[in-house]
Amino acid sequence: MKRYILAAIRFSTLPLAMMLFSSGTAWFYQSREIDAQAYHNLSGAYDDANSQCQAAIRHAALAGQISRWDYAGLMRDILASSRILVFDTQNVRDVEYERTLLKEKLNAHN
Amino acid sequence: MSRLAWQLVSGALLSTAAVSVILLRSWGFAGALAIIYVIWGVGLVAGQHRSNLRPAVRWAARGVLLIYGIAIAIGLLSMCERLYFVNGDSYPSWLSNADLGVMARNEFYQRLGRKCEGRGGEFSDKGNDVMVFRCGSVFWIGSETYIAHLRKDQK
Repeated sequence: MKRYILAAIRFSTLPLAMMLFSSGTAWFYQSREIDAQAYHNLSGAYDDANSQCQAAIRHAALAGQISRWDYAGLMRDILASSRILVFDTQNVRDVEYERTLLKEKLNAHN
Repeated sequence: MSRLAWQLVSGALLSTAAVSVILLRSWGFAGALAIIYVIWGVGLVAGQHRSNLRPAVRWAARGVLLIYGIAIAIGLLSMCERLYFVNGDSYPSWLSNADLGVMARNEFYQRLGRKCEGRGGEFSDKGNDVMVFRCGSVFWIGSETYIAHLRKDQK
């Protein structure tokens, strides 16, 4: 029995190491700030979002920046609660501008 | 495959599932991947045992491979039909549920709405006043497909 367990551990070391490395890389990527398009999408979706989604956006923006991890959850909730979502790709500027725009919108609704 | 190749393939499959969970922030896609992995695994094991010395194992493996072959053939035929439904200049009546005959354009939209109500629908304009519409699914299996001819004076 011990022989099989050792063989299984020896076999699974490399696959598990690959999984841990790729998970770490993905985790690092997801912890970074979202881009200007994503801030613009949140600004656009905020007005039509229900109160729970609006509260979630406000909560995510408390730290000053919104991470890709938070954005993935926010957009999933917004898409689930909205019938139509318009993604405007034409009027997007830089990250700083779009972040400020979202903050101004959140402050205006407070 | 060598031991290293098996380890690398296992690592790649596990990594894909783990990365999808983190990027999509959902277990849903990883669950779908797990089902795909199980289907691949069963096919792989069946392939390895298709010449097994024990008749019961051999025939069970061949049965699994036959089912896989039929499923792949149905999938390929469904894709061919789908491409023809979207891009073809015409649509064969023997593939459709019914040819609804000649009607005005507004009647066509009304009938499409009635037949597809609650199930989703789509239509393909074949030109020469022929419209083909489908309700229920984008594929032929699990859907109903109808052909309609628009009245020429009411475009």
